Amino acid sequence: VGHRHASDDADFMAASIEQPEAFAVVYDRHATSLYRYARRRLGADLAEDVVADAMLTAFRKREHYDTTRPDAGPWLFGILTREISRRRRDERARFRALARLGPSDDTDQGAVDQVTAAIVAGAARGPLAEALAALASRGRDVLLLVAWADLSYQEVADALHVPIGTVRSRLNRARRRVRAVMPAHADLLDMEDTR
Amino acid sequence: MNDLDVLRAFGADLDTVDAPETVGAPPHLRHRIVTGIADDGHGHPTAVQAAQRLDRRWRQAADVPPAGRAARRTIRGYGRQLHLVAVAIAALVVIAGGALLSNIVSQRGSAGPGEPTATESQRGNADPGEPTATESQRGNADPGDTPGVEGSFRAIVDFGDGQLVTYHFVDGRVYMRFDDPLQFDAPAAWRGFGGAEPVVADQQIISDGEVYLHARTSAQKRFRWYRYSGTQLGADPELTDTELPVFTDGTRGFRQVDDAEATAQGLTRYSANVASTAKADLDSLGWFSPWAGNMNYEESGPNAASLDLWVDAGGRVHRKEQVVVGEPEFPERTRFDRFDALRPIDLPCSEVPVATDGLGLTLTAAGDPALAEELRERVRAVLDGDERVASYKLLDKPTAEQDRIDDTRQWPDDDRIFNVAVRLVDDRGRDALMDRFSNLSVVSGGRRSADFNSVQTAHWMELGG
Repeated sequence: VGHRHASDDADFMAASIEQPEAFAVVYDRHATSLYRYARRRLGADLAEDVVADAMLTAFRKREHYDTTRPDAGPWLFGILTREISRRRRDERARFRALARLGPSDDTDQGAVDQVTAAIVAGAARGPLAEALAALASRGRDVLLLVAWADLSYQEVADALHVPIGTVRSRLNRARRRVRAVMPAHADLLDMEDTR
Repeated sequence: MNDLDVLRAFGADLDTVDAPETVGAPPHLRHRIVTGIADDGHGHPTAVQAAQRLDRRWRQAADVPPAGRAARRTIRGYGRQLHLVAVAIAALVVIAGGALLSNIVSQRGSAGPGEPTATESQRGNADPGEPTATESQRGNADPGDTPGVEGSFRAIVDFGDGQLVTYHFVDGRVYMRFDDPLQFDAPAAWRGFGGAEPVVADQQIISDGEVYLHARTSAQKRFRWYRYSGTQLGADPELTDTELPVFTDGTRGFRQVDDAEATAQGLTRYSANVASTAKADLDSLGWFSPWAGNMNYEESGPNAASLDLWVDAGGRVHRKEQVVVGEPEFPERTRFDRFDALRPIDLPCSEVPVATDGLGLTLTAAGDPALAEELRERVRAVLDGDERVASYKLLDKPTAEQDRIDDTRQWPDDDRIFNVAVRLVDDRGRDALMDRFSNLSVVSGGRRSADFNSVQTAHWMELGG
């Protein structure tokens, strides 16, 4: 979910204070990645709601945007995370429903690692979904912002207003719990983030 | 490959579970944004203009469906209320505005017989050249609520760029017409903001050609003051006339405090503590809000931790200091703001020119709560020993109620311990003080330190005026 589109979001955010239409550029750049991320966490229907609410909040608060930050992505993901946090029950219900779907045998074509990851993910879909449902919301937010929103640790820290050390510790805890549900495939995994 | 790669693959797998053809953001999300922005201001021109401009920008993009019928169709699924708002916005964007300049000039001066009424335009039998009802208008208008104009106020607002907005307030509803010869080629149209969400007003203040309504929509729980500027042409007899607010001891929970400096200036200082003041009282403090700029209405209170007012013998507010602790979306932005009115603040949503100075700053202490008392002592020691600090106040972190959100909405990562509002002596231009505060920390027994992690001055928000 690539969200890094440009280095001048800040310019448009600043311009949007007097020229609201400039906000459209920021929306167009980030809406798809925000929506895709929200849809993975909440499903299509609620994703529309949370992205719309997050964007409205962003518009209302555009005067407060820190224009020293060129990329609005982390800021928007932070707002979106708050909107998602209001629907924790829905998210848990979604993951638990996914857990009941059973394994998937779909595999993408691609690099060996990607295919391997897809196989593992497909085989472990139920346990993965259950593990995500069981995670504390703080850990889930950090884990999924890294894995699905493709934010760096620093960007997650910025988005959630926590120190980067907190991001690392929460991520480690969350990853340990997720790995625990994949014992059959543990030999394929290492803990280093290869990005 | 590691577990994060597996999670990424799992995410991609989820994309296939949920209708893969719609992985991108649905186009109608844009319209939800547009309608939401207009709805935020429940038809206030500032919000509507913003929505218009945003919508216009998107409509210029090739892949965006036009506003109007298409927008209404795509939004229908979100419920009747949103649908009606969308219709109103679509009508504003596509239909509203566009009268000839000569027509506008005559409208500006004519409040009487020559002025088309909302009733006429919505019935579709207006004079030639006047707006006619359209499908979208009919969709929004309620036949049982056709407005009259007698007994209403009418205000014409010139936004300075050729666009005039004319208001009617009738039977608890606000009707508005845009006249914008520069941006639209369609005739002007009356729009009733009341079809989807009736506006109810219970008080009004009329002063110096400006009308203030204490109003709310059906979707809003409480009343706010809204300002309608322009040529005042009449008052609604159904509304309670409210006198200009005059401040006295006890007003809205404020109590007089001794302040020799204020007394020397012929002023009296009042202070309110959030903890002892009913929230409803604080909600009404927009009366004394000096916010200006683009906002035509403003409130303070929900996030205010303390408020101090300097009031003259006539009951007019001259200065306001407030500590605002953490808007929900920006919990780190605790602020200490001081506003000096160039003339007394005496109207709700006043637009008096204001000046802020840099005589205050707010520090946020965050970290391990176990270290809170130790950190407090350190802070007191530093501040007590610094001659540049005129006074300071330690404030507990805001509760969920003060943030006006429930527990589940609070930032789970909010590790603020307390805030410190610091009032500096009038010795501007010294940044070293803030630099030092920003580095102050406490380390105890090898545990994680508690740090000042936020230093902000009263300058962070520019005020217009």
